[in-house]
Amino acid sequence: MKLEIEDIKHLANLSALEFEEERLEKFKDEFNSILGFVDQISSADVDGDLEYSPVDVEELREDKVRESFAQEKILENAPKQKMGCFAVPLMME
Amino acid sequence: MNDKYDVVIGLEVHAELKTNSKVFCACANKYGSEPNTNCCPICIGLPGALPVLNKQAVKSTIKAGLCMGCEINDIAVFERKNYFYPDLSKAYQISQLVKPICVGGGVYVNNGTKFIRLDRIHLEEDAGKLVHKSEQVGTLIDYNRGGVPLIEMVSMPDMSNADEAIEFLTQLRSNLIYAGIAECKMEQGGMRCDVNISIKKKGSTELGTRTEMKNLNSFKSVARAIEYETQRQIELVENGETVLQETRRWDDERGKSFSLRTKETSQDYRYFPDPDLLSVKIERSLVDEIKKTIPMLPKQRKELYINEYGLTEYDADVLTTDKEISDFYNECLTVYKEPKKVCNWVMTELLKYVEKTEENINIPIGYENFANIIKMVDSNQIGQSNAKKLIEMCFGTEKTAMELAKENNMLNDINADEVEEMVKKVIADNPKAVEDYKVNGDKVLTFFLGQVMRLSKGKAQANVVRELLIKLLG
Amino acid sequence: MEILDLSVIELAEKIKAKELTSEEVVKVYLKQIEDKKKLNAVIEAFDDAIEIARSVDERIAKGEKLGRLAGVPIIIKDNILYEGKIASCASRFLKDYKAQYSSTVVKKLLKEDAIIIGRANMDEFAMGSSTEKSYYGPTLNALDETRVPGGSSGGSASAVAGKLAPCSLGTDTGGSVRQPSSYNGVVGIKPTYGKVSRFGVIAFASSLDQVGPITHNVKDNALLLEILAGNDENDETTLNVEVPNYLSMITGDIKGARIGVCNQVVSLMKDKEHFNSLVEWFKSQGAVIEYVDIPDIELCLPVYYILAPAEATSNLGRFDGVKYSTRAESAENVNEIYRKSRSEGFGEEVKRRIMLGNFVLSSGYFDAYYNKAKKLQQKIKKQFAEAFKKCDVIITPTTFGEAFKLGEITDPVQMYMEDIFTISANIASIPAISIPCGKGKNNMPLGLQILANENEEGKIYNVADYFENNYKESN
Repeated sequence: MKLEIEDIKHLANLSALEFEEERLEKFKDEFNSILGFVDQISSADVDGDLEYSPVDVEELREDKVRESFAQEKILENAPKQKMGCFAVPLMME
Repeated sequence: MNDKYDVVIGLEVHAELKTNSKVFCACANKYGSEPNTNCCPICIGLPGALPVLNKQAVKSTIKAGLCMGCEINDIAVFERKNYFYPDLSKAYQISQLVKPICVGGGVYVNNGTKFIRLDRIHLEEDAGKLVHKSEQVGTLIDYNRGGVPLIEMVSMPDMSNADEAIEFLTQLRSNLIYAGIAECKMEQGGMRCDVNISIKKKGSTELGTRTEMKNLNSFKSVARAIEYETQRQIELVENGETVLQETRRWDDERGKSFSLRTKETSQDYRYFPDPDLLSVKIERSLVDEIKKTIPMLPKQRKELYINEYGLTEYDADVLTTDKEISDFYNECLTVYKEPKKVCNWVMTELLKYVEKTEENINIPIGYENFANIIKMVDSNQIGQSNAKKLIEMCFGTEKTAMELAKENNMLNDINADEVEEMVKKVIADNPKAVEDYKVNGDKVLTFFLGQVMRLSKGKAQANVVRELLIKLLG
Repeated sequence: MEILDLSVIELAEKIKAKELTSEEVVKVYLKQIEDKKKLNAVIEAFDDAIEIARSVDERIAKGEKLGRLAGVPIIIKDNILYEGKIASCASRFLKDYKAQYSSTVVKKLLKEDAIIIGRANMDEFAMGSSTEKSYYGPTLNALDETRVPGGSSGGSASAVAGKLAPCSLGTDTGGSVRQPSSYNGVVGIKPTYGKVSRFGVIAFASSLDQVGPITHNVKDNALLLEILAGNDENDETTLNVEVPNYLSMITGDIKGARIGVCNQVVSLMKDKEHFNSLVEWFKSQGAVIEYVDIPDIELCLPVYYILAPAEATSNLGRFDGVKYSTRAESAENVNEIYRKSRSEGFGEEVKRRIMLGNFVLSSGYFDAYYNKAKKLQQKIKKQFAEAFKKCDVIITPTTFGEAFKLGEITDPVQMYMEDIFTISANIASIPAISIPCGKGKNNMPLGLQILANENEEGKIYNVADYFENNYKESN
């Protein structure tokens, strides 16, 4: 597997990250060397499906309400807040 | 132009489950609170917070599946659907892809002639709410709704027009409400719908490109959006243009849809099993137990009404459209077991008083009073017209129908002699009408009948009076 | 005896017996932190520790019954939430993030009346093997300041080795407790997955992360793990098994114990001689050596570098500049908030792993990478289970050798190779400890890793304690 610069751009996009052009090139090379390394698994044999170690429904959390946090506490670390809400610039949708 | 094309419609319907707490944390599942007051580290996605699955949410999803005839999977797995959006506190939504709780199933539409298949029903968490204020204030985020349990019911593309889609939606909704799983309050966003539409040349097996319309929150807008989108696609094809695979937003105010994003810019959600949650084992015994808690659903009630009670299909339909009405009818029968008579009274004398919004249904009279009034009519304790007045008198009172009838002197407490006296008096007082009767007969009889009834304050029995009149008028 | 030379157990006894006050102990350690600032092992010392220590002393004076760690100082890795204190994950992005709640492990420490005196430096978001990738700059090895302390819990390990605290907490996703413990000559365990609650621990790779204690000796370690372990209603993945009294499982005897040596691991070693001498030593002590096969153990590393980034990329999505974490000032719309805040907030290695995670999860590659890796993990788990039918524990070196020099490794893949011996315990969900086992050519410590089957920490502690008390390098 070898990635091109366009692939790296796509991944940056999915990651919500931006890079300078030259940084992208370096990333591409690093990436391809990492991929070369993880590609070892492609020749390994695996058999069967994934097994689950599930929990029984009855063991799950009871549907009981616990007290929520106070609004001030919820918003404590908000970079921006208004009217009891987290705030971001107006979205056009 | 429409008859040249077939329309292919699939729906993805979301409904918020009625639980005490949210699906992955113990905050209250409650509508209408102050913003960000039903929140905790888990539902606002603080660092280090971990989800813990709510048992009831799983059980309610199983119940929903059983109501729609789904198979229940032995193992259910929760997965992360990754994307950035401000209403999504963790940048992923916990949902289900590969192993949902319910698969298959479906409901009948068009009087039971067409089966609309369901692909699956899965459990996921709702997102928070965005309020787009002004340039100055910006967009505000309230995470109270974030983490509210949501089921997504995904249909196969089996519907061919808006009517079928609405009927499908109506059935899902009434099943959920009947079974106490969800309230489906559409104005509160408790039920929402995405519509997938494509068109193809009539008879062709080749599917057209489909578009998706997101977040329709009333039946009316679903119908309008389907009509609009069908027309838009037909026009494109007729003009030799191509339909793009895209997601569109329906603007109900403008009656138009707008492109949100095309396939090229479409999201890659990178689903993978949520490592914070265990997979869930669903025992057959639990499924059987839940099955027992499902009340009779509209379809079954309708069959009972037609086959056992002898009602017409139309009446059975009307009675089962809303759970409240059907429950009221059933309750009346516990007081007075005359299904057909009670049905007639419900249809003619109850429904006109029932106030219905998308939010709720208000029946102004208790079933005991209503059933007892019918009983009184049938046992000649009260006349028809008085009975109708009595129904209205029962609105908003604690008194029984009998008490009210007595207080207002409405009971049939006059004897045959008194009735005959009244008939004679009316004949004597109206010599002109007597002449008229000789010419026009029956028409004038109604006039006399009305006069006698008025004189008796509605207490005389109409058929008795009628016979007397015919006899005495000669 | 000097306060700094006392073990956790001794400190707790002396404070309880009023031979020492918690206040004086805490003050001594806070001074150490101040004096050894150059190590850069501690990002922040907590000023309120003295006050809390004083209140513990008062309660002891009143004759109240206190917890098992009453008055004992401890340092926590900077990815563990302690309400009201910053938890930055050594990231610029969270440099001002004040925890709004406490993690389960912190609550357990506080319940035992331990005094949390500071937060330790680490590789940003626990991604790294040298603690050179911290927003706050590299931590130095306490035993040789030109060398790395290992990572990602380098601050926690260096702090114990440099006596800035008698014990600390680290987290271990691929070796992040054991490798730095090895490099600093201290004892560090990665418990069975699910043994210790992850609630309130900032996630790197959820299915692999475990909190582990770092101490000077094995018994201290056993006591701390016993305190930290247990089912937690806030973490579904915690195990629903009774936590044993690990100290009581230390018998001082390993006669007849079956010590496993994995053939495939031996072939990876750079210095077989030293390891062979350890094997011989165990034999001389009456243990039985069993050679076992774990044919796919070498694949643990690539499997890890698929699964861990995949989970990390999703776990780190929540850091977006909207609800908490630093928002880029220049951002003018929501998309810019995401892109700019994240680009400014995360360091290079974190970005690399986020990208890698998105690659292995993206459509078209998911089956070939993520699913395949998951299946291989299942296969490797079975191979371990099979091996443990033949032996009680497996021994390996913790690392290739001694701590490397600062700046010595710059190639990402070469850095990833650092975890080659430790990573299999995370992939197989099993417990593993690193204990000092002599020194290398540069007079820096080497570590012996002891692995056991799930929930068999007791066996590990028994063998480790015996080794600690009886092994002399001259042997």
